[in-house]
Amino acid sequence: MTRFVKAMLAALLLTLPAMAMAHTALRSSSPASGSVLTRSPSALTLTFIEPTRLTSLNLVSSAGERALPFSAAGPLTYTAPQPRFAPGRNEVRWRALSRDGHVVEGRIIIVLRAPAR
Amino acid sequence: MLDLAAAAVKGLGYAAALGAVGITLAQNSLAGFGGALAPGPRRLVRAAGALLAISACYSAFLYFLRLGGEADAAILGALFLSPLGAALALQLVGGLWLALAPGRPAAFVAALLILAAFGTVGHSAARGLPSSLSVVVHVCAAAWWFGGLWLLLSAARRSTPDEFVALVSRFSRQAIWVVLILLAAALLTAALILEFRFDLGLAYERGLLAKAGLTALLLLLAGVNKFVLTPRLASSDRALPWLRRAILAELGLFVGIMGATAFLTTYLSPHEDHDGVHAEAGAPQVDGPIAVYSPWAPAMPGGAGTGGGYMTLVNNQPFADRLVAARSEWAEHVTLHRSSMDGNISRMRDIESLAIPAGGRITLAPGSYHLMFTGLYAPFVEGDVVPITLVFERAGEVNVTLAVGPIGGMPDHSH
Repeated sequence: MTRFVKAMLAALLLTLPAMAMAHTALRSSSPASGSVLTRSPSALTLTFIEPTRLTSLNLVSSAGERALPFSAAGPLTYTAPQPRFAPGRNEVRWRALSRDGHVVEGRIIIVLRAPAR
Repeated sequence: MLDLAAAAVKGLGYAAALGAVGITLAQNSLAGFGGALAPGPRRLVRAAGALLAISACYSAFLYFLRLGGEADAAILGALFLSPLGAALALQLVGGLWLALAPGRPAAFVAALLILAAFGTVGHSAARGLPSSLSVVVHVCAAAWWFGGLWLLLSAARRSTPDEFVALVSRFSRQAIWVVLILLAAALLTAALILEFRFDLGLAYERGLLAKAGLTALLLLLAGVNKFVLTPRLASSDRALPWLRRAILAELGLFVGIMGATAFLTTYLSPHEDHDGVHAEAGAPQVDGPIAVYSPWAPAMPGGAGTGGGYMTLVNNQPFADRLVAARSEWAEHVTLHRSSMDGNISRMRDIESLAIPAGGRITLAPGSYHLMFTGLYAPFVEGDVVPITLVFERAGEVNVTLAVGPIGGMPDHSH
């Protein structure tokens, strides 16, 4: 019995890391993750699959880390005006509470480069 | 780590809720409504109620941290002005009520408040009223069973043999109906949550199956108790100790089921893989004339300006084709390269194109053919998805998304 319990525990622990980031409730973002832009957009918009409460939006870039102010633009959509992306890699980390009570999180990568010469 | 703590607190909360509610419900049904609670079960209800109230508070604190940990309007609103906040408040009030005044007729109301919390937030509640009601019925039946077992265990120690036999037979008669309701509500809830689709390839369904397996063990044990041990209580002295052990084992299985449920409701979602935008990155792109399998790139140490890209290309066309160019918005140039060993010296050279025979395949891998990104606007970081376009002489353009793995390694495709 104890061996069985140990085996169950080991199996459970092995599956944990893969599960930790399993919930992805974001349908899309504008600009989309992976986009390469030449100037910072006027707004960053996140659209979720189902009604979700966005609770935290942080931008990590070469200029450091800061919180992006945001507001709801509908039951599924949140908008952060003037995200002021820095040149290079911009990682936007979001966290939210889904309708069924899960904490969901994810990140959006936007690359800002100099305009073509 | 916070997720693990949240799942553990949730499991503890389930056990406390089912214990406090279950003993209250079972006492009312087994001893007549408003029947007095013996000192042992009364202490248990008190402790379970207090534990439930504490776990509700601790759970709220963990949610606060996991949602971002800032005391701002967005987080506090999501935490308190939401179904989640309502459910935690119901657990807190119901738990405190049972901790302070267990065993009174009014404790029934507290038990109903705690049961209502299960229908307020979660996978079932989010699907609508029918699944919300059916999960409350399911939890109610499970709680009665769990609480009834505690009452039996306590009575086995304290009561006279005749009283105990009478209690066991009452429990036995009622349990048949409760178990039927429990199973019917479980099947209905699962069907509603899964929208009548059952796919064993998905983790949530396998979790449900594990729960069903533990429940089958529990039923087996209950059957042994009812049909083998209980009839022998009057005639054999050895039946009572065995029945006590079997009840303890049933309670242990119950704890296992609650642990499985806490894991299921914290880590898994019934709608995994049906949606989600990130599911596509790094997945095989098998349609069309050229199929691309596991396109990946290693993360770059120290933000270097160049990087490699790897994948397996399969030519589904009845004629040979050639990869002639590649481009990505992430880099100024993407070129085709070949690494080879010349003695002990690794050499790398540009190649014009890469031929793939009809129906053949070619693998771009470290130490061999690869894509070379130069003039990257941003370094590859593990977890990134990098869009690229491959240009073939006959098949034309094929869009692929590279999944970025750890430095020097392939990404983990297990999720």
